Amino acid sequence: MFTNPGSTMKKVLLSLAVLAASGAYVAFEREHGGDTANLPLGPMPANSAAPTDGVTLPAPPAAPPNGNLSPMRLVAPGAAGGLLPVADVAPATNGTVAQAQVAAGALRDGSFKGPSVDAYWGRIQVEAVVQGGRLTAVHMLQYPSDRRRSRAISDQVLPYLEQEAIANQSANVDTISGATLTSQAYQRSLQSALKQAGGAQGGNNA
Amino acid sequence: MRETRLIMGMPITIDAANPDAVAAAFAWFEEVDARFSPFKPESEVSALNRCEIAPEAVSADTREVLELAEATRIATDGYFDIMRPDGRMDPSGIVKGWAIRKAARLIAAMGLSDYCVEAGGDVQCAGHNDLGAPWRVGIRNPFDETRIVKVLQPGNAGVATSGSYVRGAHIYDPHAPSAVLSEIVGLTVVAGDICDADRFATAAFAMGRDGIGFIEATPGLEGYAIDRHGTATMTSGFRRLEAR
Repeated sequence: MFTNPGSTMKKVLLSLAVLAASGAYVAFEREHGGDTANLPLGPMPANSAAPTDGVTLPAPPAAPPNGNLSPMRLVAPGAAGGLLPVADVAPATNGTVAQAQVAAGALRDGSFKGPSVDAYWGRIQVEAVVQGGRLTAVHMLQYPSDRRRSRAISDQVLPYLEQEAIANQSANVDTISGATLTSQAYQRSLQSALKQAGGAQGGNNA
Repeated sequence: MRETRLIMGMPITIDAANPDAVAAAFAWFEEVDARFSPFKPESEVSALNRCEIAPEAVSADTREVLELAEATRIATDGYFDIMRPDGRMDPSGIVKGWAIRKAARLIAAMGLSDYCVEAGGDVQCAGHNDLGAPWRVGIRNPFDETRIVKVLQPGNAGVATSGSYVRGAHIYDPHAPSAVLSEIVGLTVVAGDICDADRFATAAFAMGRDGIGFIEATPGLEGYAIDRHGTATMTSGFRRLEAR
């Protein structure tokens, strides 16, 4: 067979990392009646007293080893500049909530709305709650309800897959896989196939 | 021997050493066409769409296909769906792969371990070709139908490709039926079984750029997605399938 145990294991690990990364999102869905009963949850909140009406924060030590797979990405994609406070508080100017948490001492208590950002798989907007100078919760104000969980998960995998520019090959093959052709191309392909098969009637089939 | 016939509106090529096995496989495809064609008024699918048959009264084959379609719809969060926006059923998206799978099993049951069945760009192969070499499967260039961009040596496996250069628009996103699926122009999926490769290729193609991630996250599948810029993204185990 073409799969080997190593590949399977890699996928399992990757899937687990992805699911962990999706933990906050899954937790959000669960809070709001989403059907997540058979999904493993990601890291649980460090602070059990955190508000229950929003996404609670995963404990930092439980984050996947790959720093790019920050659990925060789903609740606050960093590319758009992170959280913007509604008050004139010094914002976390670069990146994620996790980074804001690192700079906890600079945070002022209150609730802060982030901008509505395009997270590629849909628009999301979050609200951060700071208590005692620490980020204690992120509420999802807007999330891509038109997309489904599998897309959110699969999107997390994409940055780690190998890419290449396609290039024509000249090697001989026994058969070819391709999408169903347009009718004209299909006709040409059919004629070619029938010719290879030794048929003489290649021109009149449709 | 290698023979190509036009059945179900597409060229079907069967490569096997036993002429009886080849004939039996073609007879099977004719039977599938008669039963599942949405274009033939006398087919079972047409009768179902006219509500002339109760769903519980369908043939065993049709029940198998409908159950497979439903299982696939659930497994893909609805990205695979044989129900069209007009409320009619078009199982064409699952019948091809399923028919190839059954044809391959038919040939194998006649004692052959070397064969290749290809229908409309979907392939199931096993063993070796008539020169004793492993089957080599090309991936067609979505921008130039006369060229191939990859050569695979997948072993006993199914290879299916979904693309946006299809006839008509029989692939669409059921979550957004009017969406133009232009970002990814071709998605090839390799699985042990062509039916799995075909149905998950169809669903993942409807997911657009996210589709290859779905293939990566689904055990037993490898994939190669080509976007409209000619950049391919492959799953982590895909390189091992390439011919050397």
